[in-house]
Amino acid sequence: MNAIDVVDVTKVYRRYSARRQFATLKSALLSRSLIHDLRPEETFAALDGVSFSVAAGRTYGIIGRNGSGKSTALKLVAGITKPTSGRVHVEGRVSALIELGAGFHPEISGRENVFINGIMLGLSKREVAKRFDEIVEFAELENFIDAPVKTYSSGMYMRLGFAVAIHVDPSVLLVDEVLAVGDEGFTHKCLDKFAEFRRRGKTILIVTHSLGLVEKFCDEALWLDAGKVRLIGDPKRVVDTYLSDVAQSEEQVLAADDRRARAAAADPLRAPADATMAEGDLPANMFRATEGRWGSREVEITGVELVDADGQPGHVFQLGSPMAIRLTVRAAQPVSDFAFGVGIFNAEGVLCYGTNTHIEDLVSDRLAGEGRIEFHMDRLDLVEGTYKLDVAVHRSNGRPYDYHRQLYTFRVKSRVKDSGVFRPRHRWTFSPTVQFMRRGARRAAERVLAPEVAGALVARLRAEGRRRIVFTNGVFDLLHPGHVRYLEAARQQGDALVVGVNSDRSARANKGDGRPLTPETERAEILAALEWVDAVVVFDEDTPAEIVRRLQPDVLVKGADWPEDQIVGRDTVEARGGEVVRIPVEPGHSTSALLEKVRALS
Amino acid sequence: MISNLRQLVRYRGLIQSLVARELKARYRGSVLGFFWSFINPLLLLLIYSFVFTYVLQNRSEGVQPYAVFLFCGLLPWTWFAASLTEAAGALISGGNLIKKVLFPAEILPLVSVLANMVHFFLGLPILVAFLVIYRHPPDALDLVWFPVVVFVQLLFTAGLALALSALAVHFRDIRDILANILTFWFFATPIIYPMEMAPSLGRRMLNLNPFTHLAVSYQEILFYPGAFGHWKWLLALGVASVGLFLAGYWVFDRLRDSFAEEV
Repeated sequence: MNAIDVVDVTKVYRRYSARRQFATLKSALLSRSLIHDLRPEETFAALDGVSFSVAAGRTYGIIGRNGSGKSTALKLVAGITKPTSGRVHVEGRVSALIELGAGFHPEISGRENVFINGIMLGLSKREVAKRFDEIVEFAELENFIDAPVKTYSSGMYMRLGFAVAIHVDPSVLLVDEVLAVGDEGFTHKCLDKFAEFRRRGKTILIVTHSLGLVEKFCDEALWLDAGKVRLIGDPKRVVDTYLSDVAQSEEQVLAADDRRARAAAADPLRAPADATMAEGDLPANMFRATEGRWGSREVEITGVELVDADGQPGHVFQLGSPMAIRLTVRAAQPVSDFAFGVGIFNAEGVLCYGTNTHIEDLVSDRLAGEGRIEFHMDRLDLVEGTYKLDVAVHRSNGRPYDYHRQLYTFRVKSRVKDSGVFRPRHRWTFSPTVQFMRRGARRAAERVLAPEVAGALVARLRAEGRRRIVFTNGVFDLLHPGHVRYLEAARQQGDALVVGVNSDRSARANKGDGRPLTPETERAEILAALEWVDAVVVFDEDTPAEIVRRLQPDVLVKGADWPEDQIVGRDTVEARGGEVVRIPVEPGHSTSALLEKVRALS
Repeated sequence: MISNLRQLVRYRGLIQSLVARELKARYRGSVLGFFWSFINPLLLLLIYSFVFTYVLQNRSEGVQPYAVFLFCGLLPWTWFAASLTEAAGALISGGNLIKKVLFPAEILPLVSVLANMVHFFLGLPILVAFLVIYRHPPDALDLVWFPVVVFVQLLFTAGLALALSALAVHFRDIRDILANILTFWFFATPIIYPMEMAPSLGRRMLNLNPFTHLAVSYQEILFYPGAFGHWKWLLALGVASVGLFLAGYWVFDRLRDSFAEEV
């Protein structure tokens, strides 16, 4: 079932101010549509035939450039504005985090504002009162809640707004770029809250420029471009396609900049101040000079291009990819004293690298007519950013024929957000005592718990709204499809599944000295890797009676091969009103049969 | 329309809280706080009665004590005029809310009307005090009509407030025009002078002014001795006010979808 359906929605805004819109009061009240009689050039389609739907319980991201219609889409889903044509349908209570604390009154206390804001967002007074402490605690404003809101810092204001909105407990949550509301700690708290929403099966629609968030959090993403849907699908794919499109348009902007700079340099009247300097003079401070062009022009640089590995000119390059600077020069008269130089500056004007043929011990001999020079870099090892380029042809003593100062711009793109200027090729190595986690191990670390903390885990799961906690236990020595199916069936008995695993000692006590084949930590890790297992607890007792007492599950699952009266922990579960469920075991799968096969092989 | 009204009932908690907030916020930070609700009408009354009893000597026999007569009309007028002025700006100043939060926008002008009604109620003790000081007890039987007048005025004001607030979003001039219309309207209503003082032609004109019947009703109930004789007019105005309220709501509903874009 879909929580949000947007079908062929178009939203047209008028371009002009409110004053022009109605000729008369009569037309304001009687014209069927407020915009039908406007000429097309007076309107602007913020959204144009947009359709998408979000299945219940999914997290959906909308990305796109500024002005692409993202926020309009969100407002339509929230019901704040109506589509000009098309249909929007939303199932369930909606809470929109569009502007936090919208409607707070500065003169009255935080407490009163929480109530009014909560009621405005659709809660009853009693519901707000019930959640009040939680809201204040979440906003971290215990000491200020009775102060007037006008005394709050902007962070406090936003936090309170966020706390109220998130505690409305909507089934559909709309989020518009609001994660930048607090310090790191608060941002993490918000993300945790979103994660909790997800786990509880709520639908979330996020509009954001934070692509990382979309990749990490969303099940699906939509890329809006100028009011139209460009791509819908897997977040990673959508983000990547979007990024490469952004790079392409940056390329166009830089190319346009470049053309302007060249035109300015070529035209002596419009050239920057430096260009009017006397022939052969150098600017007073090389490193603080702004862009410009000077020189005696006995040799002239007639073309500068940045080319990629395939020789294609461009302005945006990936970190680590090859790049070449291609110069075309022309000498009016043959010259024998010449050198070519290049310099790369970053956006702060710091010279990242500079060299010339003279420094590199190339002795000039003869240049006549047209010539082409290429400066190849096998790897562009600069951190992400915008760079400016100096190119020059000059005498060996430094007197320039033609010096182009920072006239050319290029951009380096990188997915690694490292900092500095230069990115040396590098790799990390570690001694065996330094270890980083594999993903599976990370999952195991989160889900495999000691019996002592297992009770707290169940409490946390319940707090997240997972009411029926299912428990089952076993040795799970050689995991086979029978196990996997059995565990999946167990998970379906409730809202969360905790698996108890016999420790090595306990397994030996039950199954004899030959078992287990796999040590307890590894068995636990394998189980934790299953999607439907929420936690794994290794217990050392011979029977699970103790661990069942600790966990207090609502459902105790065992295989149907166990006689009902022999199920350990039955009394504990039934005492708290839970039930015992016996799930049929898959025929043809058993660890013992597997062991027999292996033995027969050897 | 019916579903709109039902929705209003559902949001009564919000209306309540917003009215309370309006009242609290208005005097937050002032030394006298809530006392201003008493002091404001009191000062207004003192000024008017000073002008009309000492400066412009008032000779009508029928309206003594003049202060009490004046107050009977002035207090409801203040409610009416302040409500309309605030309602005309309610959607524009609440623009941030309308753009960012989903809730029925008609609540904003209605809150203006209701908050001013509370001020009206807070002014009543002063009227009572004057009635006691001047030993001018109203007719007990007439007082039964008092809630009826208040209700008719509420409907009448709310209808106008809804229409004005919605139109003011598109025609910002309304707010300025309104201030002038209200001044004119005030003097075209028998508040500072009694109905009888008007010549017969003027009286016919005054009868066309709906607020005349509200003011006269208040005066007859609280000030003039004898039975409440104006009830036919009042009931007629009551019926008209229901119509006006529905019409105002219709105008509001008509323009509702444009608010989020225009405020």
